[in-house]
Amino acid sequence: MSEGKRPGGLTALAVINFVFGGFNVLGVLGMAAVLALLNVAADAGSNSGDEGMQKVADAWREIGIGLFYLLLALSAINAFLLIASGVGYLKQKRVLGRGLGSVYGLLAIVTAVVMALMVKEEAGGGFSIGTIIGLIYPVLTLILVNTTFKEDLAR
Amino acid sequence: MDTKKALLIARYGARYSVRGGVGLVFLLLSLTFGLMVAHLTLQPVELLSKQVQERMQDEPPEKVTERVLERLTDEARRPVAWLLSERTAAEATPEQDRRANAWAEYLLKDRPAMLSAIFLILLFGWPLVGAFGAFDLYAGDISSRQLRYQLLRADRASIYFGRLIGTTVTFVLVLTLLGATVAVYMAAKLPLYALTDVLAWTVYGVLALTVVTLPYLALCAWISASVSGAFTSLTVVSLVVGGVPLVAMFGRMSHEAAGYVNFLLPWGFQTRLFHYEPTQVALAGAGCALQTVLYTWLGYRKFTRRDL
Repeated sequence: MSEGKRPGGLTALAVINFVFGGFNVLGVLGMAAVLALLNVAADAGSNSGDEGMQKVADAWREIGIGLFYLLLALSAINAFLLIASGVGYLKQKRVLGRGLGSVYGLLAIVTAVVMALMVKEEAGGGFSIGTIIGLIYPVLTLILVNTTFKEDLAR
Repeated sequence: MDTKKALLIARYGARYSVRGGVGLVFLLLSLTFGLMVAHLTLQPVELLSKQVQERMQDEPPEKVTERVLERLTDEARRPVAWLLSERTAAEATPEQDRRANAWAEYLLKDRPAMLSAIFLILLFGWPLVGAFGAFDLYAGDISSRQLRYQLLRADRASIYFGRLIGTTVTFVLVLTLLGATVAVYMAAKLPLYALTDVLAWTVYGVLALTVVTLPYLALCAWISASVSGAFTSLTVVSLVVGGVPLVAMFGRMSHEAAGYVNFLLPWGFQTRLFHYEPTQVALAGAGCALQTVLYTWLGYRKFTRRDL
């Protein structure tokens, strides 16, 4: 099977990986922008005027800005893993495809759990149906690369 | 038809649709769509409750959420009644208004309102999402002539019904997963309704959505068996499923009778599966069953006679 033609589902998975990888890169850039705004809000203190931003800044100060950096790093790693494993799916590679795909699945689940448990709703975290939506693709990836496409990712 | 072979094809059909890509896209699309509908319906209640809670800090959170939901339900009653109205002319009669209000009352007061809202939105979106999961039942293999190899070992009827059963089972599993997720979430995060009420209404909603899905699936099977090429099938299926309510809506503007075009598919009566009168529910269910049989027969007739 591994020497045969690539299944259409694997190609679809690779394309979806590239799309989601692109979104993740945009997300990382967005988080970096939020970080800059948080610093501005912190510097301005209670005189910043923007009540919403001040609330977010306060929430992050309470949670600890270190966690924000951790989430930023996790998002950047997830973006890299999505794109790299997408290339692995296309080339039907075991390590680059199945290996990195599985790592992405696990890491994305960990990121979602951290966001749900440790980040307050004011700071964009908390548990909602949005969290479950975010888990659909990582869980599907984990299942598919280790069952349906396991034999195809063996080069 | 060989039942054993049909069931074997059903099992492998669902698995290989994921390998082929169509099943994978359907899984992703359907789960995301279903949960997004639930998210967009439940999020306003959660956000509003939080905002009100901040202002009324001495009130218990459950009481605040209950009041917010009550207010939202009151606001939603008029548009829901309008949506469910059986009017045929521009102005509804007092009797039609009374029936629509009673129906809205049943969905928003007697049953868990948030679940009713989710099911009503899903009812209108699911046929279009479902088309993505069933458009390539046979069309792709007909155009690539791959069915020749299966025909050496199985008869046409087994292949036709096997694939149809496999897709139906996949749809039921996805709907059950969606229903279970929403019910568990609501029970855990928005404990406004009794757990038994939520579970009972979820089971009913999933069952109603399954019943509505069957005629659309049968239609997809008919179209997929009639055309060559997956893309052509997807185009025709989308045009028919999405086009019927559009033709009915625009046609009604000039000829009232054009509204009956809706009854070619369950669009014309599918909301009645959530009606408060059991006879209306039974009639809607019978309509779905009749259309399922008709489209399945048309598809089977075409598939068994055409050049594969």
